[in-house]
Amino acid sequence: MKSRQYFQHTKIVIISCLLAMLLLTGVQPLKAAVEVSASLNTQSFPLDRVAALSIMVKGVRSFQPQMPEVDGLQFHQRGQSTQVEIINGAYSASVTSTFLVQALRAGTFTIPAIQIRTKDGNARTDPITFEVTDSNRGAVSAQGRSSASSTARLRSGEADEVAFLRVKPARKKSYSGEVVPVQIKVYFRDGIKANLNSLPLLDGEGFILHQLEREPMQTREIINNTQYTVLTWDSSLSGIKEGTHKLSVELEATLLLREQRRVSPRGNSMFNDPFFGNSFFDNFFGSYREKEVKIASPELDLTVLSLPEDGRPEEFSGAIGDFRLHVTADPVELQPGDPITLTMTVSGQGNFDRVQSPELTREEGWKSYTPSSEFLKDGGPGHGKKVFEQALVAKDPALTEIPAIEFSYFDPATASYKTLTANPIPLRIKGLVVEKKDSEPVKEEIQEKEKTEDAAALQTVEPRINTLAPLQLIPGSMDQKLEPLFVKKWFQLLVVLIILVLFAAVIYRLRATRYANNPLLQRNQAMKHLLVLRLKEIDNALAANDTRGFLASCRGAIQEQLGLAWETEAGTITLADLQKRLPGDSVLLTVFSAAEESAYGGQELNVQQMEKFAQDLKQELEGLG
Amino acid sequence: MNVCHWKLVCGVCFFLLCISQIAWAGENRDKSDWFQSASSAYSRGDYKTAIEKFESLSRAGVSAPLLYNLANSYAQDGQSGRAILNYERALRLASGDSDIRGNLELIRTEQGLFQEEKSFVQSFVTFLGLNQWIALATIAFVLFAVVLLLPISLGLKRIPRLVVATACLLVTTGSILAAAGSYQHWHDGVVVVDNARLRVSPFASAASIGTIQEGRVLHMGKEHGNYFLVEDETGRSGWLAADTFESIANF
Repeated sequence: MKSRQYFQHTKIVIISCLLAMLLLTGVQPLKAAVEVSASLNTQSFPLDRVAALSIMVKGVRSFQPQMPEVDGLQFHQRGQSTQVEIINGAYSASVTSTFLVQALRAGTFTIPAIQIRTKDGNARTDPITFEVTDSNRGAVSAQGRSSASSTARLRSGEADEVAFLRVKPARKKSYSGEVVPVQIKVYFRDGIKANLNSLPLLDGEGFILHQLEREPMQTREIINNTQYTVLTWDSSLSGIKEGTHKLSVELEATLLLREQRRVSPRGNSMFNDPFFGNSFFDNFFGSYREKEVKIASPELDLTVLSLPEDGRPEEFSGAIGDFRLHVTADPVELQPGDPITLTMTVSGQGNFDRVQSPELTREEGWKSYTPSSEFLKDGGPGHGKKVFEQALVAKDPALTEIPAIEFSYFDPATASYKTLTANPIPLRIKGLVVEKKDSEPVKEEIQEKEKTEDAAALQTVEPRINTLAPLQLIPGSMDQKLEPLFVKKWFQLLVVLIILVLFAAVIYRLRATRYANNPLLQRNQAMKHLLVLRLKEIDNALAANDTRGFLASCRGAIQEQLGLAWETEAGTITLADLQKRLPGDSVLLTVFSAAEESAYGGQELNVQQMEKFAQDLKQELEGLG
Repeated sequence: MNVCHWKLVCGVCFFLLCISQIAWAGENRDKSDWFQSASSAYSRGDYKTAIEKFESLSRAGVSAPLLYNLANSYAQDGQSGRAILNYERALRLASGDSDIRGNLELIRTEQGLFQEEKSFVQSFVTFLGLNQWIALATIAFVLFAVVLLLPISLGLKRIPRLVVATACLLVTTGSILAAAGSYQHWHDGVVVVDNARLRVSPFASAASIGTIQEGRVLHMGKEHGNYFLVEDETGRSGWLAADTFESIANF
C-alpha cells in the first residue's frame, strides 16, 4: 500500500517538473527584453566598394526596420536571418537584417538612429559614423593578395571577414614529451561554401601535433555581429625540442565564392570583391567561383621545458601526466607451475605512448613473460587507460604473494616525479612440484629415438628446449599444398561418384517399389517372360519339324498367356473356354483346336502350315500384352 | 590388330610404367636423403642448417612430419613465432598427432602465450581437424543413404533402420557444422616478429593501440594496402602490417 502511494507521489512530482519546464521555456521569451544593435563591418571603405550594415534585434522573431534617408548614401536590403538558442533551459531568439551601404561620394557619413518596430514595442539603434575614401585608397583585400599566386594565404587578423583559424593550447609552457590539449577552430563566415583539402597541419619546429579526428565538431558562433560556421578539432601537442618555438597551424581549403552579376552605378568592381563584399550579400542569381586558400592561425610562442634530473626514479620511462595504477591477478589459488595473469591498468591523462609496463619490486622466484598492452581512449586528448597483461609463473611453490608493483611518472602540475605502488597480492599455491616426473618419460623417448639416428651427436649437444618431443624419422607422403579435403580433385570426384551411385540406387529403389505395388505391371512382365520362353520352344520344334512338339508348345503358350490375361489357372483353360470368350475367326482358336486334334487325333502339319501358325500366333499373343 | 601388335603395345606400356616408377622412387629417395640430412643437422644442434633444409623440402611439398620437424628446428633456434606457425600447419594435416599438440603447448607455455579456456563449442570443433570432419561427414552420409536404401529383405527391421539412419544423419550434420567452424580458422595467421604493433588504422603513421606477442594466432579480416584488420585469440583487434605475420594455410 505504502509503495503504491510512493509511486503515485513520484509520478506527480515528475509530471509537475515536466510541466514547469514546459512553462519556463514558454514564458522565457515573453520575459526576454528586446535589445537592438546596429553595426557596420568597417569604419572606412573606398568609394568603389560597399559596406555591410547588420541590424540585430534580440528577443523577437521578426521586425521591420525603417531605414532613414541619408544624403549621398543608398541602402540595399540583402535579407534577414533568425537564430534561436536554448542554452541550459534559457531561451533566446534574435533576428539579423543585413543591408549593403553604397556611398555616392567620398566623405564622412553618419547613419542616424534607426527606428525598429516590433510586436513588443519600438526601439532605436545608435547612430553610426564612418568614412568613405577615394577609390584608389582601398584596403588590401585577400583577392588582391592572391593575384600573385593561385593559393591565397589568409592569416587571422588579415582576412577575418571570410575565414580564419584559431589555436588554443591549454598551456604555453610544457615539458618535453608532455601531452598538451589543444583546440583548433576554423571559422567560415556564413554564406561561404568551403571544401576542406587537408586537415589542420602544424607549421613550426619543436612540437608534434597528435592525430586529428577526420570529422571535426561543427557549431555556429557569432563574432563581431557576424555569424560563422566553426569546425573544431580537439587534439594535443607534444614538445619534442627544448626551448621557445614559434608555432602556427594551417589548413588548405577551397572556397566557393558567389560571383557578382549586378551592375553597380560605378562599374563592376564595386561588387566583384567577395572577400570584402561578402558573398552572403550577393544576389541569388550569381554563379560560384572556386578559390583555393590556405588558412593559417596567428603565430604562438610556446616553450618546451626539460625534465628535472633531481629525484628521477630509475624505472621512470618518460610518462608525464596524471596517472592512477590498478593491479589484479587471476588466479590467486593455483597449482605449482600454473600461470597467473597479472592485469595492470594505468589510467588518467598524459602521454600514454611513453607509459611502459609497471614492474615487480622483487623478481626472485618468479618467471615473468613479456607483457601485452592495449590502450583504450576515454575522453579528450591524452585521456584513457593502458592495460598491460603479463603472465607470471611462480618458480618457488613457497611463495605466498605477488610482490608490490611500482609505476613512476612525472607530474607537470607539481613539477615532481611520483611513484605509484600497488600492494602485494596474496597467493595460495597448492601441493608440491612434480615437474620432473612428467618430463622423464619424454626425455627417455627422445634419447631412444635419437640414439638410432645419431647417438654420438646427442651426447655432445644440449638442446635449447629439452622437453620437446623428438623429430619424426620418415617424411611421410607429400602434398603439394596445404588445402582442405574438399578442394582436392580426387575428393570432389569421389563425392560426385557417390552421388551418382546414390542417385542410381534411389531410381532402382523407386522402380522396385512401383513394380511391387502394381499387379498389372507384374502380370505384363510375367506374360512377356513366359512368351519369350514359349516362342523359343516353338522355334525349336519348327526347326526340328516336330509337329506334335510344335502344337503342344503352341497350346501351352496360348493357355499361359490367356491364363494371365483372364486371371485363371492356365491348365484349366479348354477349347470350350476359348470358343466361349474368343471370336470365331481368332487365330488362337484355330491353333488351339489344331493342337487338340493333333494331341487326340494324331493330326500332322506340314512345314508351311507350321510356319504360318507360328507367325500368326506370335502376332496374336504379343497383341494380348 | 593382331597378337604381335598387342604384345608390342603392352610391352611399351610396361616399359613406360617401369621408367616412371624408377624416376618416382629416385625422387623419393632424394627427398628422403635430404630429410635425413636435415634431421642429422638438428641432432648435431645445427638448427639453422636444419631449418634451411626442411624449408627447401617444404617448397616441393608438405607433410605433417616435415612441418613438425621444421617447427621443432625453429623452436630450438629460438624463433617461437615460426615454430608455432609450423606446428599449426602440421596440425592441419595431422590434427590427432600428440607430439605436435604437446610441442605446440610446450612452446606456448614457454612464451607465456596462455590461452583462455575453450568453450564447449570450441572444444567440439577442435576435437578433430577440418579434413577429419569432412571425411567423417562423408562416411556418415554414405552410411545414412545405404541404410535407407538397403532392401528390407536383408533383415534390418524398420525401427533399427530408422535409428541407425537418424544417428548417421546427426553425425553428418554435426560434422558439417564442425567442419564449417574449423574452416573459419583455416586461413588464420601467426605473428612471426617480436612485439608487432597493432594500429588503429591501416597506416604506418597511425596511433598504436598496443603490441601483440610473437606466436599469437590471429584471425584475419579485411585488407587495406599492406595492412590487415586482425583479431587475436584474446579478442583484441586492430590493423597489423602484413610483414609481421604469416598465414597458416597459404604459403
